[in-house]
Amino acid sequence: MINLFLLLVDIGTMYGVFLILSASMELEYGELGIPNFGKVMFFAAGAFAVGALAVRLGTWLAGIQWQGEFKTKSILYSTAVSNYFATHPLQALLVFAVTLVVAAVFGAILGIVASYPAIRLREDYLAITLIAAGELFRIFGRNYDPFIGGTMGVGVPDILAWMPPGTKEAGYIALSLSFAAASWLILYRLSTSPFGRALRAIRDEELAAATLGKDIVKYRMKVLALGSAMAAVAGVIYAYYMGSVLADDFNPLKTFLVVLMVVLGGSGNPYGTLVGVAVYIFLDRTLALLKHYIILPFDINYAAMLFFGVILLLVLMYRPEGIIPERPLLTIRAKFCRTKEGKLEKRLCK
Amino acid sequence: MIDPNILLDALVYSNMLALLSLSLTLTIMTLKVANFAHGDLAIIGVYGAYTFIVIAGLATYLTMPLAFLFGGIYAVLCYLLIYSPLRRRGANFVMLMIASMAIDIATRALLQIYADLLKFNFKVYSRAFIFNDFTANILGVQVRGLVLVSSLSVIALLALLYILLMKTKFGVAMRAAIENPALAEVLGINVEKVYATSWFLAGGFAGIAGFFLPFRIPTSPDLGFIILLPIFAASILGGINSLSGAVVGGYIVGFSEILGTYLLSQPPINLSTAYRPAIPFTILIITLLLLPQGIASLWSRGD
Amino acid sequence: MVDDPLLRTVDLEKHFGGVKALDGVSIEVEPAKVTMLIGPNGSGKTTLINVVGGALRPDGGKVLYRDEDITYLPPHERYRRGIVRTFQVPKPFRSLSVLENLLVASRAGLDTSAAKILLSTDWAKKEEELIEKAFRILELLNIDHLWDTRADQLSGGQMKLLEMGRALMSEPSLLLLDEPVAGVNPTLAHDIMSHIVKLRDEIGLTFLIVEHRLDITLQYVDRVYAMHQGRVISHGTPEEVMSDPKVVEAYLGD
Repeated sequence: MINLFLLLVDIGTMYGVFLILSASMELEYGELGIPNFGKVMFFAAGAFAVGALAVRLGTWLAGIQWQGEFKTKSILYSTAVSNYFATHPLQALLVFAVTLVVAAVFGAILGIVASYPAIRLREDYLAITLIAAGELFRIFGRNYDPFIGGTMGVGVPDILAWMPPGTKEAGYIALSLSFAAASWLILYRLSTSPFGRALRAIRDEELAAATLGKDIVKYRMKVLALGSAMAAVAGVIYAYYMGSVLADDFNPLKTFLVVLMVVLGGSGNPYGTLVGVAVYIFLDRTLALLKHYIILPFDINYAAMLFFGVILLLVLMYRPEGIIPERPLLTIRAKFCRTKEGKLEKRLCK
Repeated sequence: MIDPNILLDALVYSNMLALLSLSLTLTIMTLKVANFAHGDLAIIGVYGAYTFIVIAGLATYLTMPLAFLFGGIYAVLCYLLIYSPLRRRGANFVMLMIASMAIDIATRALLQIYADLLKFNFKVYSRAFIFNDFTANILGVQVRGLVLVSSLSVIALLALLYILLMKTKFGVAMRAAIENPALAEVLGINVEKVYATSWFLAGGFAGIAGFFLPFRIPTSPDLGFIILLPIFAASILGGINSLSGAVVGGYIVGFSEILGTYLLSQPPINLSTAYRPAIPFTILIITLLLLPQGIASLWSRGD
Repeated sequence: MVDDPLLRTVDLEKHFGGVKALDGVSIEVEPAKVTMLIGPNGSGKTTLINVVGGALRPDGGKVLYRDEDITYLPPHERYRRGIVRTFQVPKPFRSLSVLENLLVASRAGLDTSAAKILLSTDWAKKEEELIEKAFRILELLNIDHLWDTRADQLSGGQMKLLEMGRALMSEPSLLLLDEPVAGVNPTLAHDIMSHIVKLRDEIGLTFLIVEHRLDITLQYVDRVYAMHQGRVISHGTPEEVMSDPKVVEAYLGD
């Protein structure tokens, strides 16, 4: 029974994390047409910020004297800080809030930096630039020990340690899903507003949009800042939920999975992300379950990777619009409806 | 003074990069989109060759043509089964790019599975394997075989490609199909066939480059993704539409990467060699900012 | 008495490879007048529109708007100053509906701030007014029944009208129209041209038009510039230009 509960916690929390990532990718790629293949870098920005700050802030608040190397002792001290948080919920929430804000700002700044090449480069050059930047960021995290513990990783204190036993896990689900809901609502609201309309106009015909007054540089900057801040928030939640941050976890495969979810669900339609993430998690968990029942002469994780690669190719080939295709969205659709003759009538629809 | 062995290693690495950036450029000229699975073609080639070495017991250098064949066939399959149908269905630039990323993920997964199967069925090393080399004595100097073989291969393949493109009827058709596919079609050129052939050649070149890898470093399925950045840097530095530029770009990036990593890891800087990708990355950024048309624009007026 | 020109170009130069598309082109567009560029294919008319609209940078010369040098301003800055253009080959926002296409062009600026959209609902009220206005323009162009159609489902002629609708929605002071009635049926083409004249007379809108269908358009315009091989070869009233032997020769020689 407890296993089923933990499984649900894991699914729920990861759904939230991936929904935030997909919502940010949908905003950038689905709405504005910038395929952000550096997504994992912004995700890592959030997680690394937590890795670098949470345990340090925690020990400082708890008044614990740090002895020894950061690399070897961070796990130990994060446990000590967790114990402190168990009786000091306010301090725990303070650490969470501070790391969240720092991560979001860090992500947004990185996004603005990334918008500089995004304005000027064709998409494939941009993609390799962002992938490489993300890889260098990962390599830095992996090799510079004082940052996030290098190859050992870093411990992250449990900010929900003060919750009664058994409810803590539900707390993480709630945390993850509430941030996911907020991210998705931001996406939905923007998508179905004049702002989203301008984004899709730029995506469809850049020159015509510029001629009609859209400052394309500014839009790209704003969207990449917002999208990257969102991805960083996903990183924060992920780091706290996992209880540690390991640089090598943030490899380009994560970006690929987010692209898969957005394209599979239907890029250009906010509802697509809800479905895309769900389908991915369902498939991923099913494959994970199969591991226990099937014995293969090779690692089934590779089969899963192959499977997801092929799925994306099949979607691109046979249903490029995804499960839920894009459709023109009216900002205030309710006010306008057709009469029987197909003419427009300007009054509230029944 | 820099150790001559490091210079020779830089030469070997650059030979490999030149072939890879040349072949990447060739595929970009036909598809108009960069193929993110290009590094994997090299690994396909080397795994093909390695299989014949460990199972059929072939002498290492004899399997070089097999590396060409495996790389070429896989590239043609990618083109005919994925890129070409996608384009016929009206896929845009970004969709083709996403497809190439999916191919990269799927290809590396396939290679990992293949490596597992190889190990499981034949009880041989299937990851982090290396090739043994011979040493040649040239005028009293000991030289690794790879230095000679890789350099001669580059010269031979470049000559071959040059003759093919410039001196044969097929070359004329190929250049026409790359420059203006619609017009070439009208002139009775089978553009699809020409493109597929280009992909075969590109995959073959990549396969040969891949064959050189295990002489230098332990080779594993994911290596194709790791070498992608220097390949792109070389190709973009070369000016993505220039074959000669790609070759020159390969040597510049190759030498910068090896010598730069060596110098930066020495006192007083003592930087970890793990930061090695920073060098091609820097070249990439500088090129895109300062010389977006690549170095080929310095000697040709963008053909 | 001639007013100060609203737009002036001074010795514009533009090369494409070895071809001189613009070879020292100087024109003046007077306010509240309809000025038309004519000339055989390849004479440089569209290049001129592209340079004035900001899609192309000239190799030499200047573009002055209300005496301000706008030669190197990006298109959206020109829009802010009231210059809006349409395209010869329509560039609709293909996945947006016809109505949305018009709303994008609006000058109300509801779409500039993500924060305002998220934090208030004021924009919705403004949006309603814009929709009303957009519908008036769609009715005028006779495509209001298509308001909910995706732009990529339109016929070529309808796309032309959509271009026109977007331009009108943007409340310009200077409208650059690249072949506004090409592919539009003659009745509607006359309607469009009459409407252009109406806009000129009623709100003092200024037009710079490129058009091949002289039979329809010539009777509506005030000034004509004839171009040939990247140069202006004649200008004046439509009668003056059409009776200029150089113009006749350029057309016949083509």
